[in-house]
Amino acid sequence: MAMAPINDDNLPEGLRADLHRLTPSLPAGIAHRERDLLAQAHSALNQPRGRRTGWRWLAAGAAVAAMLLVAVTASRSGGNPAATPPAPVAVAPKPTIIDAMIAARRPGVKQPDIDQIAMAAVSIDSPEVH
Amino acid sequence: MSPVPDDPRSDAQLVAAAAGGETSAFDALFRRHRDWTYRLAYRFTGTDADAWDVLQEAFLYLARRMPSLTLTTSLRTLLFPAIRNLAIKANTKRRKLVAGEELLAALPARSSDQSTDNLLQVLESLGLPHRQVVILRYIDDLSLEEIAEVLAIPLGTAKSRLFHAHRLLRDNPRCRKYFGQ
Repeated sequence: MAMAPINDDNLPEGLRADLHRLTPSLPAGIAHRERDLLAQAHSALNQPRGRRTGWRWLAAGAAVAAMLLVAVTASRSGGNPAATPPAPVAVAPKPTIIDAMIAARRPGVKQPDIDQIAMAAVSIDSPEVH
Repeated sequence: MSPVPDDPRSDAQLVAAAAGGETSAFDALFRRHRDWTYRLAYRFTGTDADAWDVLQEAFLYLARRMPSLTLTTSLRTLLFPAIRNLAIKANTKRRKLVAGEELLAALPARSSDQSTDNLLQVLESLGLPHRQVVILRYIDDLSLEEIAEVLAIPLGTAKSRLFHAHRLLRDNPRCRKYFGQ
């Protein structure tokens, strides 16, 4: 058997109306109860948004902290934030001829002759000899 | 107090506005669905006090869900299970234990009105599947699509059940006056 299309007109209006009347409508005179309910609902509606604002503040704080860190790093690396500050290297002061002569004249040290001093001077100052 | 005119926006648009913090959009949703919610809650619980409590909890639940809510179905389909669960909770407090399936087909309390009583007997004579669809369609005002979703059945099954329910009502001697027989 082919099924007839479902149409609400299949049900007489009187029956529909009586079925609808089986449950009561919202009673009148409840304006104050509705106001209380809506006040609570508005509060509930706004509560999670507050929490979301809190997350925004946290994210903004983290962003500021990150920017500060970058600025400090940049100032330490001479204005280039991408550059890492060079590690300090212990560089011994370059000895001069005078240093060699002073060392040669320390008490208890055998006095070098002039050739030794000259050799020391050459070995210190000349870039070719190391 | 003069009645506030209904907001022309759809439920989905009002939900989106309320989710964005527009409280007047939430108020419009409340005004649009409060009577339906109360009637459904009354059918499930049978008392005005419990029906109001269920209505209140249902809209507070909606308000709490609102910020993250995107309406992909009708609002009634969303509210229906919430109202049913809240009603079961209220009934449990009053030691009125009704299973969920039966609650969907629960009838309002008998009245002293002969006509109403007669109609309740007609509905009681229908089997559970047919009673459910008649009640959901003509007492709870759900569309066939909403009925299918609420009962978790295919739309075709909902249509078929309603079609057979119509036939059963037409053939019932107590309904003769409605069908002009």
